[in-house]
Amino acid sequence: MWVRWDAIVQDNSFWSEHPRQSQKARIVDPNNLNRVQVRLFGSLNNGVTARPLTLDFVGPFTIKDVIVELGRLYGTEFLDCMVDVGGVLSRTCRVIVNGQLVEDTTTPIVTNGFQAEVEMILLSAIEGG
Amino acid sequence: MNGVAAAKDSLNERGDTWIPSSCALCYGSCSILAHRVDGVVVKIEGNPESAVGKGRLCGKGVSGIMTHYDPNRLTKPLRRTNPRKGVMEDPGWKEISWHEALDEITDVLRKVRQEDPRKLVIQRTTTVTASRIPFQTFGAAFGTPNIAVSGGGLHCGNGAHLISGIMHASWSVVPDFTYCNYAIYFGASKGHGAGHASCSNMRLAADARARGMKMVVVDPMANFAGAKATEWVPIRVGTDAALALAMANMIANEIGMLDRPYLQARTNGPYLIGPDKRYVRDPDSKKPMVWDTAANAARPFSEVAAADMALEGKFCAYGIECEPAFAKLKAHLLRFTPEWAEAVCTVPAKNIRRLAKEFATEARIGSTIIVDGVSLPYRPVAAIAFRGNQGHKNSTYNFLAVDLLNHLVGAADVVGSCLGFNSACNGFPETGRLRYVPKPDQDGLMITGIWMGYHYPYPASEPRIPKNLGLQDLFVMSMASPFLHSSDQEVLWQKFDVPYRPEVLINFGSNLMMAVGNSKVVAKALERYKFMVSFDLFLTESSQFADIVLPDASYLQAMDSSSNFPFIFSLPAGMGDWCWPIRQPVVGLDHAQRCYTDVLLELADRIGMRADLNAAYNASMNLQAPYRLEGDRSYTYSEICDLDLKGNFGPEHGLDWFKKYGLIKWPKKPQEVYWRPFVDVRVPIYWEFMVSMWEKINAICELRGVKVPQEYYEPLPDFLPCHSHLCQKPDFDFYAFYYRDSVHTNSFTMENAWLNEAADLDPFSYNVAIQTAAGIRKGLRDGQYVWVESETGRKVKGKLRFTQALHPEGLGIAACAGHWSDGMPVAKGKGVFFNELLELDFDHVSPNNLNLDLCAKVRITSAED
Repeated sequence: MWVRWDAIVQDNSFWSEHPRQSQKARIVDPNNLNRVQVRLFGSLNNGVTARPLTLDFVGPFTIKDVIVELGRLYGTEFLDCMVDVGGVLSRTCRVIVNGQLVEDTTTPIVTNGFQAEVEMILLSAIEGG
Repeated sequence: MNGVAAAKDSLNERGDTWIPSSCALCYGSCSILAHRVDGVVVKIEGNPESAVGKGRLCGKGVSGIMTHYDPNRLTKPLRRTNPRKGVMEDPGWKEISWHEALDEITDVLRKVRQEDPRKLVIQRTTTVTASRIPFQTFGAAFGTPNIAVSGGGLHCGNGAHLISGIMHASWSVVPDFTYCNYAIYFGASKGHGAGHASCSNMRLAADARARGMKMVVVDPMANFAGAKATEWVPIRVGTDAALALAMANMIANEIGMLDRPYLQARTNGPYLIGPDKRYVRDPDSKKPMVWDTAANAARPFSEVAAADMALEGKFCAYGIECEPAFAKLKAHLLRFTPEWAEAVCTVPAKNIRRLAKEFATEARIGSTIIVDGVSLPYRPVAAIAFRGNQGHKNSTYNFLAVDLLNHLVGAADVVGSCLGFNSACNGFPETGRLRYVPKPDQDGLMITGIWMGYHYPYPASEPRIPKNLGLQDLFVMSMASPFLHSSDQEVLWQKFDVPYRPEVLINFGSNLMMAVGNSKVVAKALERYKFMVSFDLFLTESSQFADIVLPDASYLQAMDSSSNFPFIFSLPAGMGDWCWPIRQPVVGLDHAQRCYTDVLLELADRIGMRADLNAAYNASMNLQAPYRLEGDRSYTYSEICDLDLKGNFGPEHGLDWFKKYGLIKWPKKPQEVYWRPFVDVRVPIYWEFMVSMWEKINAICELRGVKVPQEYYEPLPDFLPCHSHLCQKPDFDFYAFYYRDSVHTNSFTMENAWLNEAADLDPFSYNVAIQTAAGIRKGLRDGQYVWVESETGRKVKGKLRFTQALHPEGLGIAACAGHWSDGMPVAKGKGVFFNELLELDFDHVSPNNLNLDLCAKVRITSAED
C-alpha cells in the first residue's frame, strides 16, 4: 500500500507542551516599583563591581528590559556577549529567573511583593568529540 | 575517621562484589560490572541491565583493568625544574605535594583571571565524556570561552556532528538496525567496535546482518566495517561526495523514486528560490514562500498544506522568477553523472547506478508499519557517514551529500531508516525532566532539541570579528578548531586583532602532541604557554611540556552522575530503553592520586570563584530548587552528583540509590524514536543560509587578507578536492589515511598491556597497509621497512603489510600510535604516528567548518638502505 508520508500521523498531541515543566518564570505583578536583584557570573561579572546589582523598574518589565539596562550600565561590549546581532539572546547565555531557566526574553517578570532574582552566566560554546 | 577516609576504606574492604559503573576506555561509556575481590578489581564485564552496551563490552573495555593497575601510572604531583620546554628537553621532574601544586596553580590562575580570563585555555580529552560538564562549568565560571577537545572534534566531528545536528537533531546517525534492510556506510564504523554506542551497536548490527540486512561499506579499506559487509566498495580516499552525489543524481533524475510527500512536508524542498540563491520571502511576514498548487499562487509556507506545495516548476512571485529548492537540487545534481563520478572516486559507473537503484528500491517509499500499536512510515534504508567520509577539506559537503540520499527517499528518523541518536525524549515519566524535542525556527527549519555544547548547529550564530582563539565566533559552522595549535595561529590572531594571547593551559587527559597534527607545529604552540598544568594518568608526550602534572584518578576510582548524557551522544538509537547510568568508584584512590572533579572544586574555592562555579553548574545541569547549588557554598562533587540525580529522577533516586543499582531506565515510545512524523519541523536540502553566511564571513576576512573560498558556502553540495587530489608530484602515488583500530582509542590505549598485545598480534595495527598488487608494482615487499613522506616533506617510518583489502591508491595507518614518551613504556616505539604527516594551518582545514584535512599524498621509499 502506498501511503502519503504525512498522512500517517494526524492531530497527534504527543509532543504538545509538557504540563509539568514551565519555561516561564512565575509572575505576579505589581503596578508600581519593581525591584530585581541581578547576579552576573563568570565573564559577565568582569568589571562589574557589585553582586548582586539592584535594578528598579516602574511597571511591568521583562528580561529584555533587564538586559537593556545592563547594556546601558556596562556598554556595548557587555551586550555583545549576551545577545547576537538582532538582539536575540545568545545561545551561550543562560538566564535564570527566580530559580527557573527562561529562554524567552519577553517573558514579563513580576515580583508580587518581593523582589525578583535574576542570574546570568555565559556557558562555554565550543565542543566536539 | 572522616567521610572521605571512610568511603575510601569501604572501597578497599575485603569481600567479593560486583559493582555497576561505566567504562571510560573510549567515549562510548558503556555500562560495566566490575568484579572486586578483597579490594582488587579482577574482572570487568558489560552490564546486561543497561541499554548502553546491552551487556556487551569490547576488547578495550575488558582490558580497562590493565590501564587502572598500570605500574607506570602517575602517583604524585610533579613539577618541572627545567624552565626550557621542547620535545628534546628533559623537564627534570620533581615530586611535590598537592598543597604545593595547588598553591602555585592558584596563584597563576588568580593572576590571569584578574588580567584577562580569556588567556586561560582548557583542553580535555573526549574519551572521558563525563568530563564535559566539570570543565565547561569551570571555564564558564572562570570567564574563558577557550575550551577545546584536543583532536577529537577537529578530526571526527566538525562535519559529521554539524550535519547530523542540522538534518537529524542529533550528534550522529546510525541505521535503525532492528528494521533496516539496506545500509550503506561511507567511512563509518557504527556497529564495529568503535564510536558512539559502540558495544550496543555491535550487537544490533550483528543481529541485523543475521536477519538479512544488506550492509554496503564504502571505504578505501575493508577493515572492521568492510570485513563484515555484504559488499565492500573500494573508493579513492576523500571522494565520497562524488559517489554520493552521483547516486543522488540517479535517484532524483533517472530512477525517479522520490518520497515527494516527505520532501513537501519535512524539507525546505518546496521553498521558492530566487536568482540570488535566496528564499523568496513574504513581504509582510518575511516567511519563505512556496507555490500553492491549489491556489496557483505563491504563499508563505506556513499557510499551505504540504500536499499542495510544488516541488518543481518555474514560477513568478512578486515579480521574481523563482523555482522550488527541490527543483534547484534536482537540476544541480544532473552534472554528477556516474561516469564523472567514476573518474573522481574510481567506483565503476555501472556499480554507482546499481547501488542507487538498490537503495531507492529498498526504501519502499509509501509503505507503512505498525510499531507498538503506532502506524508509522517505513523506509528500511540508511546512508550513514562518519570520520572517514568527513575528515577532509570537503567535510561539510561529503557528509551532506551522503545524507541527501536518505532525504530523497524519506528515510530520516522513521522506521528502518537513518536515525539520529535519540533526537527527541519525552522525559523521565515521574518528573518530566530530561524532556527535549526539535523545534522549528521562523523559517520552519529544525533546531535541535538538545546538544552536547551550547553552540547549536542551526541556526548558526552571526559571524563577528573573532574574540575566541579558535575563531569559531567568525567561522560559525565550526565547533572544534585547529587554531589553538596551528602554524599560522599568530598570523591569524594578528589579522583579526584578537586582543589577547593564550598564557595558561589546563589540560585534562588529552595528548595534544599526538592527537592534533604534526608534532613540530603543536610543540611550538605548547612552548608558548607561560604555564601549563596537566591532569594525566601517565607522563605523555604532551605532559612533557607541563609545568605541573597532577596524578589523576582512573575511571575505576571516579564518580560521575551522568556518564552517558545527553542521550544524543552514545545511547543506542532505535526502540528499547532510555537509560541513565552513573560512574562510581570501584576501588579507592592510591598514593596521592586525586580525581580532577574534586581538584577543580578546590581550585574554585582557592581562586574565590565558587559562587560563579555553583551558578555554572546550576545553568549547565539545569538544577532547580530544591536541588540548586546555593551561593558560594562549597559542595563536594558527590553532593553535586546527588543533587543532579535527585533533580532529574526525584528525591528517592539520589546518589545512594544509583550506587546500589547503577542506572535507571524506562521504555522508549515509538513517537520518541520515530519522532519525525510527529514534529512539525523541516530540514534543509537546500542550505540557503550559506549564502549570507559567506557574505558576512568574507566581509570580515577579505579586509584582513584572509581568503575564504565561496565554493565552500554554496547552498547545494559539490565535490571539492583536498590538496592530496591536486598533487602532481611524481612518485607521490598513494593517498595516506588513518583509521580507528577497534582495539585502540586515540593515542591513549597503546599503554594498555593487553591491548598492546592484541595489536601486536594483528598484522595491521602497528604497521603500514598497502594493496598487495600496488606494492609489488612499486617493487616493494611485505614486511619491508619504509619511509612514508608527504608532499610537504614530513616523514614517518613503518613496516609495510600487504593486503588485498585496500584500494590500490590507499595507504592505511591504524590509530594514533608511535609514542616516544618514557612515561608510557608499553606504548613507546609501537606503531606509526600518522598525524606527523598532517599540516596544521588554515590552508589545510575546511574553510567552512574548520575540520582538518586528514589525508596526505605520499611516496614510499625504502628505509632499509
